[in-house]
Amino acid sequence: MPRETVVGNGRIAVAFDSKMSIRDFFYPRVGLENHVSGHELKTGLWVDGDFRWLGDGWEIETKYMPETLVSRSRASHPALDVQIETNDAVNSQDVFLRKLMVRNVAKTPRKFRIFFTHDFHIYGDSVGDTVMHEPAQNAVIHYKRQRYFLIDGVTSEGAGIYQFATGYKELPGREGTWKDAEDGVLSGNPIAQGSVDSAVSFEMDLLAESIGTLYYWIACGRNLKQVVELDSMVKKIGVEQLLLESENYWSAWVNKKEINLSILPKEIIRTYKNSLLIMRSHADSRGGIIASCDSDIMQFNRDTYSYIWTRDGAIAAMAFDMAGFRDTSMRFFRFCNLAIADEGFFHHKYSPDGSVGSSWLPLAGSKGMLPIEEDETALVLYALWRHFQKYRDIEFIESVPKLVLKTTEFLLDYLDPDTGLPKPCFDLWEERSGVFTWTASTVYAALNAAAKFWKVIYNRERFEALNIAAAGLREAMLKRLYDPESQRFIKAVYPDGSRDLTVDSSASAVFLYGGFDASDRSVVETMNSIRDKLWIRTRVGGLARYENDEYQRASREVTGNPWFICTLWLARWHIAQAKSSDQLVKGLELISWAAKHALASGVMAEQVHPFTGEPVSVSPLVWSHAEFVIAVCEYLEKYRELSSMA
Amino acid sequence: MTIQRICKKDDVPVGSMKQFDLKESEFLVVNTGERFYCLEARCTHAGAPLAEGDLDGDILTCPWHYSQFRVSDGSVVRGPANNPLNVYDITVRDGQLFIELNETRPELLID
Repeated sequence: MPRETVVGNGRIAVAFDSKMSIRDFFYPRVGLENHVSGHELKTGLWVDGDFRWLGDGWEIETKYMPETLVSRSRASHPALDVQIETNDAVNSQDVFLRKLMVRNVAKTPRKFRIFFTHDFHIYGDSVGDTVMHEPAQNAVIHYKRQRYFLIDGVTSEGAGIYQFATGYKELPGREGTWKDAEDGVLSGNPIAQGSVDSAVSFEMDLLAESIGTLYYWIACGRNLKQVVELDSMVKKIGVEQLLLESENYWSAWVNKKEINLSILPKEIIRTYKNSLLIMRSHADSRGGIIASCDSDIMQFNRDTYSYIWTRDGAIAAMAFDMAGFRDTSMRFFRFCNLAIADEGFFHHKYSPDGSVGSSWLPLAGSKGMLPIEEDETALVLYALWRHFQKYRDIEFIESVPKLVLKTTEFLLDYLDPDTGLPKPCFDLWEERSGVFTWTASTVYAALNAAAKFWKVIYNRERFEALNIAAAGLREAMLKRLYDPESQRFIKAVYPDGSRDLTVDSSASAVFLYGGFDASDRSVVETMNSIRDKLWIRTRVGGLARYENDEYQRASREVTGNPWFICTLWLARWHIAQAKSSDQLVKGLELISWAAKHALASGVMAEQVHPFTGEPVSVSPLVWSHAEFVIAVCEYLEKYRELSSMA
Repeated sequence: MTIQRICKKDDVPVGSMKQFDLKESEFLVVNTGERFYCLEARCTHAGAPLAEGDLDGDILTCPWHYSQFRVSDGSVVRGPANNPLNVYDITVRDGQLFIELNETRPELLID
């Protein structure tokens, strides 16, 4: 189930499904320690003896409040004659906040009880957790070692938790305390240890056609004292004020004013801002930018996307920089400077604490091949140059020396003297090993970036040598990765010398990273073949990754599922080669395609179903949002350039 | 007082509203079908982007906390907002919209 919204503050990220349930709860780092891990923190409603969990039978719409990382869900249930509206956010002091308004639509006064269940798996598992009622605060606390979660709330009438229950789950005959809630009454059991959960309820008497408001929060800390202090702070200041502060903070954050968006259609402006906010919710305050917080993919391969792939992170950093959000990109580069291997490359992926993440790239690759995806190293260096090009912050560059010095040496060493191309590695799709047009294009961009850094900072002679290396690589690409017969760049050359002629959207990299001009005949033919072979001819449209893509394949009637990133590469090509304002239309249409196929909240998945348009694979995917932001920025830049010429 | 071009008439279809940025200030252009209006673009209560709100006739509803304003004079119809929106004179000429700016510009969101 895709995540409809994500809220966070750089240390906490909380993701919701379409039932308004919390499914992921990261603390104290975005991406590290998911204390819910796809389980469910549910909301239920009891009205005069009739109980329903939010979900089936409800009409639910979830969005963000415009220009904020505060979500807004609306739910209604015709049989219950009730409407609910919630706002969710995480404040700067590590408290998850929820405001819940209940409208009694009936023409009679009624009694309402609102239930919240807490199926925490602290540190990612359910072994050795404790849950207890804390009478002094009238709160429920889940804890294990250095992780404490205090649950509390108050109605607008000043009433706190009405009833509570703590108990056992995932054990024979013990489904969990959520079951206890369904009769509208909670047992009051004060403590449980092991595989445990809890439920709390609040009671409100509502007059006919009236509204009641409930405030609920989860304070996060490392010990009891911290969460009790946070609880007192929330009680003193009030959720209403804390939510307002979150709204204002994010609105101020996203409205940088560096770029005038007025010329864009409203839905693109909205998606652009949502994209930046969603990307920010995936950026840990210590620099890592995780690919996705959606842990549902765990059902697929028992691992998640909650890691830092430096490819995805570098592209997100480029997007942040282009849009004027240098603070976030700088934190990412600092993270990379600490995480980089001594040999000067980046490993497959990282955890948000900088440790090397899980991997499926074998160490014993062919002919001593490293278990890496070299573009992950190249793109960090290239993104750093783009950052410097925009901000000219030489002191910052000096503070991340490994990103220039070590990566440069590695990229040079990893060139094959026989072919002039990079040595084999794994591809960006993490499926095959070989020498890929995508990878070679990113290495070309990185060598160029390195040359410029060396010219500006270090040694002009080195600049010449790096320029020569980059030129040699470009020449080698034309010789070995370009197919004169079809007049296009191919996907890859494999170690056995065979050529992969599969039409693959990643060949877009030849212009994306500056190796070849977008209007160059070789690029035009490459992009034409990509468009012709990979455009999905259904009512959904969009561009597939490559021919006969099997990953999460939804149908054999089309060549693959449409991907946001691939469709946006096509948009970027149309923009890059536009010579007049009229020629920008196609690019804008493809950007609009991406906005249209995002969820109502603005969240973009990795892929969409080719016939229904529903999200496929993880949702959100930061890379999808980053490509959207980059495409919009490039569009605006080109629009200005062409307008000034006119 | 200065007169500034803000957008094309066609940029704001009937029954819609859109935000435009001019010299770091934000303006909301509203097309009710009967005429165009220009107001400050942020709610006077908490700074919400009014262009993302709802327009029903000449009543604008804020997208954050549901304050309501009358677009013809900026007056508050329903709280929580207490203060009216600034309104700017707007004229249509040759398919372009122009606004008159005086000293009472909307507050900048960010300096």
